[in-house]
Amino acid sequence: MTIPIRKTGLLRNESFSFTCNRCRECCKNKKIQINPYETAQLARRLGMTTTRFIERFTVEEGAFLKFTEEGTCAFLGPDGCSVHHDRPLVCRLYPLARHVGEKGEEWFSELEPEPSCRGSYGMESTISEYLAKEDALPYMQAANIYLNLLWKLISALESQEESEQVEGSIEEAVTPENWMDIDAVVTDYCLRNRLQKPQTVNENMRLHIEALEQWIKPT
Amino acid sequence: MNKHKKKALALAAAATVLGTSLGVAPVTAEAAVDMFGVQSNADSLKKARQGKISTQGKIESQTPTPVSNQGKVSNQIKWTNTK
Repeated sequence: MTIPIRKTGLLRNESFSFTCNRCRECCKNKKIQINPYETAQLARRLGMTTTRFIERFTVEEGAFLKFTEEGTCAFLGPDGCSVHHDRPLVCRLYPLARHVGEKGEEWFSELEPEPSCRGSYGMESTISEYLAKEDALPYMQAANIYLNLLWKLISALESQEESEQVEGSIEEAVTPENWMDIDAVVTDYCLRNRLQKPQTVNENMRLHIEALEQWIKPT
Repeated sequence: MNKHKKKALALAAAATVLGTSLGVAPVTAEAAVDMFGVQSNADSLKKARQGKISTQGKIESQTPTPVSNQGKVSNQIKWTNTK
């Protein structure tokens, strides 16, 4: 079920403020998207590989966080979010949603709050300030990087369909078992290219993108 | 299976999972269209229909539903929409 929208078409300079009062209503029964960057951040926090993280804490091949049988986020503990410092973008944005078009155009929507949400709304700051307060900017930047990759992937798929009759124009694909798994893809890429696997999430993301772009690219 | 078909399938699978993680999916496009019902923007509406919009947010709710193939989905809970 889609959550109703209160307002949309909002830009970063629009007035908006929201203070979470930790009622945790937004941590229940919501689909929480996580892209490979967010997976890597959470995996690092928990001291495990992204392979293990995806297996233990996600569904739909790593695209969403797993929920408990009671319908709460797997990371919601008695004291609130147990991974708050590394929480995904959608948790940082709530009660906003961010939309990005193919050309990078961006706007926001304000979601209808949960009936029992105890958060306080106001107009004293801007969306831009709210994003900064929630430290959402690096996450938005990472989402943009992966979105660019997705658009390239879709283009490659379209051109693949067009060139279907041209035998031998594309080399045998080295298909990653799970694209979302940064550690697996980067480890394999580093082995093939005799590189040292980087330590930081950002460097791993850079090589992840590089590996996938190479795979997408027709020869 | 020839090389083209194999790669096309792999690309499609990758696009699906990456797109889902970034909020680019048919359901998201529908949601975006609904949103623009509130405040319309022709160009964006067109793109929303084409599905080339990423919506990053807690825009969907869900409830757990046991599934018959749960044995095949190791240690996972399958979720479906309530409506």
